Amino acid sequence: MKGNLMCAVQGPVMLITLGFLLAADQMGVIAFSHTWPVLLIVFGLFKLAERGFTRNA
Amino acid sequence: MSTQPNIVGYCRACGKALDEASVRSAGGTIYCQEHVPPMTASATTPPPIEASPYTSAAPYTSPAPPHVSRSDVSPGLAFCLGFIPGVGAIYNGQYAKGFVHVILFGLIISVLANDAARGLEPLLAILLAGFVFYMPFEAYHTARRRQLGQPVDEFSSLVPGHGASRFPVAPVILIALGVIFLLENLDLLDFSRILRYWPVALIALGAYLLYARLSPPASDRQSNSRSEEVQR
Repeated sequence: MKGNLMCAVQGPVMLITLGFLLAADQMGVIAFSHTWPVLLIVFGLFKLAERGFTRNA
Repeated sequence: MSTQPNIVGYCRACGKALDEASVRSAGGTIYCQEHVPPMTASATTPPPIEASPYTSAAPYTSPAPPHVSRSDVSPGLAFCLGFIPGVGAIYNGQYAKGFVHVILFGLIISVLANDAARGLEPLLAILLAGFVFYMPFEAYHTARRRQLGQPVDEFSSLVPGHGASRFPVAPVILIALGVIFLLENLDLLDFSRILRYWPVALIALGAYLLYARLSPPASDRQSNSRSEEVQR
C-alpha cells in the first residue's frame, strides 16, 4: 500500500533533509538557523501526501 | 475504496492496515501488534468488533471505537498539566494538538508584544487569559473521555467533528508556518508586518468553520451525531 510506504520513508527522508541542512551549515553555504523551516515544510508535505494516499487507497 | 473490506483502522505508530484480528487498542488509540505499548499489551485485547456501520465507512476516518476503560488516566493531572501550554494535550497523547496550542499561545503573546494589535490589546489579553483556562479544561475533558475508553481524535475540539479527516488542516498549517519562517529567515519578509494582518486568521477560521458546518457528508454527519451521543 502506498500510504504504508509513505510512512516508512518519512523518518529517513527527514533525517536526510536534516543532514543536508547541517552539511550546508558546516560548509558555510547557508546557516542552519536560516534553513530549519525546510524541515517543517517537508514534514507538512509528508502529512499531506499521507492523507491523499489513504483517501485514495 | 479499499480492496480489503475488513480493515478497521491503521496503526498509529507505523500506519499498517489492521483487520479485526490484529487490531490492538491502548488509551483510545489503535496500534498494531508490534507497536502497542507494552504495559497494556496483555490487558487490553479488545473483544472482536461486530459488524458495525463504522466498518462500512472509510476506514481511516472512523475506526471502530474500542470501549476499554482505563483507570491509569487521571483527569485531575491532565487539568493541572493543562496550565502549561501544550502539556495537557501532550499528556493525553495528542501531540499535534499540543503543538497547535503552543503555537496559538505564542502567537497571541507575539501579537501583544509586537505592538501589532493597535489598540486591541485588552481584547487579546482577555483572549490570552481565556486560552490559559481553556487548555486545562480541554485536557480534563479529553482525559475523562480517555478514562472511559472512548476514542478521541488527534484534533478533537480543535476542529469541528471529524473535520480534520475531510480537510488537511494540520499539514497546511505546518507548511504555511514553514514557508513564513523560511521567508523571514531569508530576509524576504518581515514578520512584524505579517503580524499586523492577524485578523485574517480570524476570517480564515470563520470561513473554515462555515465550510465545515455547511458541507458534511451524510455518512460523516451520522457517525458524528452518534459519537456525540456516546459522549453525553
